[in-house]
Amino acid sequence: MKYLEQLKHYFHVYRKFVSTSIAVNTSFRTSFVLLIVMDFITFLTTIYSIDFIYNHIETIGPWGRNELLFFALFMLTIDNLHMILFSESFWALSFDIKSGALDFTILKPMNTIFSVFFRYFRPSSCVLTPLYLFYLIKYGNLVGLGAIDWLLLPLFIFGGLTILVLIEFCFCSAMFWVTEGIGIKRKWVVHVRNYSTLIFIIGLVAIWSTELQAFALSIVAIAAALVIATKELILCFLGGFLRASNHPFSIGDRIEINNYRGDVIDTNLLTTKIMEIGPFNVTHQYTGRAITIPNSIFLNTAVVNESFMDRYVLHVFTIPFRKEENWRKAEKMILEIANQECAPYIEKARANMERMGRKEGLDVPSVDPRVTYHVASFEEIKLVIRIPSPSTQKGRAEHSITKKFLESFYPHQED
Amino acid sequence: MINYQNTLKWWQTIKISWVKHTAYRLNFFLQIIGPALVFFFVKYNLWTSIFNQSNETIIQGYNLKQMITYHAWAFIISLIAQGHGSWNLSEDIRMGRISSYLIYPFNFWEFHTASFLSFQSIQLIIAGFTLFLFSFLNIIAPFTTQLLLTGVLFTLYVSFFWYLTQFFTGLLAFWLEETWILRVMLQIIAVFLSGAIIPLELYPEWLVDILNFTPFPYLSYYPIQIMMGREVSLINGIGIIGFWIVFLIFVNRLIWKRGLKLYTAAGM
Repeated sequence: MKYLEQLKHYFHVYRKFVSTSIAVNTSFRTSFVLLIVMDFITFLTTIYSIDFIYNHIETIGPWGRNELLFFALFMLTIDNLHMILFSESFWALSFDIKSGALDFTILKPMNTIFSVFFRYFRPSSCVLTPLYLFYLIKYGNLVGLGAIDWLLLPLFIFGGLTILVLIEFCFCSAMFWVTEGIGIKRKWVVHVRNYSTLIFIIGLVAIWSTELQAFALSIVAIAAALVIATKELILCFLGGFLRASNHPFSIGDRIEINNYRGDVIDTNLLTTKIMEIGPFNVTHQYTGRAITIPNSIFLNTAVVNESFMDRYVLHVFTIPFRKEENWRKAEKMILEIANQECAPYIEKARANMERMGRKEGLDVPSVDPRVTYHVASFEEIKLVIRIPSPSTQKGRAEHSITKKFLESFYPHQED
Repeated sequence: MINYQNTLKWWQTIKISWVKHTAYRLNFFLQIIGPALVFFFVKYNLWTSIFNQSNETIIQGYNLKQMITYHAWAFIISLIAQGHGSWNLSEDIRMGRISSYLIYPFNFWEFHTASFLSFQSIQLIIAGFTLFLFSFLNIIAPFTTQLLLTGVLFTLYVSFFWYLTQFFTGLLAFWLEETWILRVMLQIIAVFLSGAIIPLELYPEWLVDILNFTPFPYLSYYPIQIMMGREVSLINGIGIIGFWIVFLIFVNRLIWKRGLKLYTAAGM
């Protein structure tokens, strides 16, 4: 249900992205028309380049004119979809990195990859989509595609688009290291893309037409060997992906996973580093050790995030008593001390809980200190104390309450 | 247009521009050399595979060796003739940065032309190194020094025309929100019609007849023919490009004057 809500939210945001992009693009009408002309010129030059070559030769490798034109149109259709959905966002990224505007994007309360790579939409490229589709269908008929081929075609287009975007994403990563993203983007994408991609594929197919089949078979074996050899790394990578997509915690959160407990200080694709808190889960002080956890652990182990409630959390601890002791008096004393201890920040904690309740759709938990009983055995009774606390001062609050209580409850105890 | 008393300013601007271009070497490589290099290797693969069907194949007067030589020269010539992009020119106008040029004793045209000269000197070194590499790897067929010299001089002449074209599109920033679209459009058309992808012999005759009246074949095809030692009417080339250079200088001056009347220091 939560994911469905999130999906709806993102869909709503994307609709806004599209509508603002359309408004911006159509307000500069000359640029809008020029973009259409530019795409049309790309289309013409690609098609005529192939046509001129085939005026002098019969085939390139096993490919005849119609096959290659169909293939070119398949690539152009993918490129067209890419231009509509992603190209503007990829270009904007280099400027955002250079100008520092990316900071604002990262701060937005949504997935950064979504807000970076889906931000811009290029309506001008939609104008030529029917042209690409018309010729794709025309040449599809000429090369004699069967019913199953036609059914699979949209799937292959989607697959091709995904691969293109992923490759571009890899190139984009280099933008963080070079001074001009344009070097990678505009030149590579416009200049190289328009001609090279097509010719590259022609060349590739022509050169290795027969070898490709053998390669397809051997690639399976190589892939299997690679997967076996790098299984752990792949698991870590997948764990990192799971962590990045689900956001179970952020930097600075206190987490516990598989008996490892601490504050998260660093995360990357393969590992997560925490500053250990301990020993065990009853104390709240740094041990001085850093623990690097492989991300593969997130695939099959539950993560406890103690900082889920943000700046203020509810902290629970216990004080055991023998049954014959005056635990009723102890309860009153603890409650009184806890109220005094929490008084300076209890209203802030209450506001924080209300905010979290609204954000996560939860019933707002009470932040007033409370004490409950837990009968551990015939001889023992435990007072379970729940207090609100700043997320970074749980240990201090617990220690302060416990100390004051013990000093009041056992006043005559000697040093 | 060039004030010769300003030689020192020209020299300093060229030096500064050189430093700017070479300061970020990886970026320079990715922006200028990388795409052309990829493009060359793609074309190499394509033509090798086309000719591999029969080693005896001759397509419109080109065998495999000649076709590869053609594209190797196309690569070198593209570095010299079509390297300069004038990317910053339109941005200067749009962002209102040309105000400073209006009060400097070194004007907008002089500044960008000096930058162009600096850029060309770097490109010449890269082209020289590439030529050495191609010769060493036996990718390129042997050539004479005289042909090389004639070809390079003609290419430099053509590069000035290309620079003026870039300057022209940049100046349109006085009226247009984005001029990169025009530049890219021009680039695509120029690459296609100049014979940089496939030799003009493979084009329909009627199209080549029309193209000969345009400057496009002189951007790639004719310099390549000179380098390959084929017979070319150099006078024709110099005349046609000369006409376009004069025409563009005139148009650019006109656009600059008209544009300045629209310009506000806050940008366009």
